[in-house]
Amino acid sequence: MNFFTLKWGSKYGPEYVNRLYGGLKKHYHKPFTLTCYTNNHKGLREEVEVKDIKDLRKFGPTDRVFTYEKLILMEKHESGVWLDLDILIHNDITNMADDPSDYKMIWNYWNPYWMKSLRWFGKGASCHVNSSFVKFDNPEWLIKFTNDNWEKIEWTYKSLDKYLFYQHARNDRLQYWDEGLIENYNVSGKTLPGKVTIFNTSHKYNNKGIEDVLYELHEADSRVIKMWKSYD
Amino acid sequence: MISLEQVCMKYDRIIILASNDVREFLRTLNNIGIDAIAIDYDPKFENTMSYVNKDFVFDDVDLTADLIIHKNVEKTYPVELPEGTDVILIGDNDQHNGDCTPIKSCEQLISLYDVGEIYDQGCDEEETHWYVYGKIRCR
Repeated sequence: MNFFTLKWGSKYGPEYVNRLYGGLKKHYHKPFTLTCYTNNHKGLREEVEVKDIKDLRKFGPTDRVFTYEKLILMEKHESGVWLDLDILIHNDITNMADDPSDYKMIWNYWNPYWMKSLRWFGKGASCHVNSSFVKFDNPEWLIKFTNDNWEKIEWTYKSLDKYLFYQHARNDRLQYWDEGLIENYNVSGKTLPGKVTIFNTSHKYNNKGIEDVLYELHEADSRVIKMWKSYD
Repeated sequence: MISLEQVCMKYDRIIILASNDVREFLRTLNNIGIDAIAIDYDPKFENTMSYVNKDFVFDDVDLTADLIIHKNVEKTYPVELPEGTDVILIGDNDQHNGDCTPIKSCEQLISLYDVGEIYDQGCDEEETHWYVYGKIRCR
């Protein structure tokens, strides 16, 4: 299995990549590779394959469609799993990674759909999906739609997840991980149920009016940090 | 601001884009013989009379009308509207989450949608909401 991740800028250090690899090593029980698309490979462990993130910026630099590079990844690699850096794998993900779906992502079960998403749908301010852990296997329909509509997509959406929610979740084109497999640390009461925990915070900085206190993985409680560091 | 009710009386077929809840307005227009529909992708309008529950930017929709009223322009990509069609474009610069086309002037609306002939234009007293009433240029 081929896993992929992205790293650019200074928000996350090389330890995020290295421990992601360690988490895979412990919780994916088949041969695998981890490829990191980055603009700075300094400090990455030697098992991690490094590629230039510019290879994924087919449409050039943009401050829209945050992490659109993930979509281009699927043009370059027919199948695999893309992972955000700010996740903690803490249980066996072998079956998830080997899932036969052509595209399977996270549905934000932890948010009440009506309150958090449906209510704001018409205002364009909603999002009920998350692309921190995605299995893909040549989803030609998604690649084609993206290429055919890129100008509109880039104009309209601040983030990849919003694009996926408004255009593809709306039309029932996506598949989602079963409830309970992936949880959100900043919602689930700092426990670690399921197999993977995400620590996403980017929506706070991409939107106005979100006052929640959100913790990054390196700011989590000592039990989480201890597990994370054990993946060194 | 422009009186939509008065303007609409002059037309036979009207489409309202990004309308949100205009059920009463549509009912009034249809009751007096004007063929009026709204196109809005919000799921709350699924199975609502006189609504087409689609995204007019990305989905395949028919925009043939005598008058197109595009509300909430700030929330949508500026699609190419049918040439020669009368339009009322209404947008703001309130900078809400989800706004991708903040509107700061009538000139911006005219340019974005290629309005050739202007019948009316203006803004509210606070100069935050702008409108243009005119005809899409024939290309």
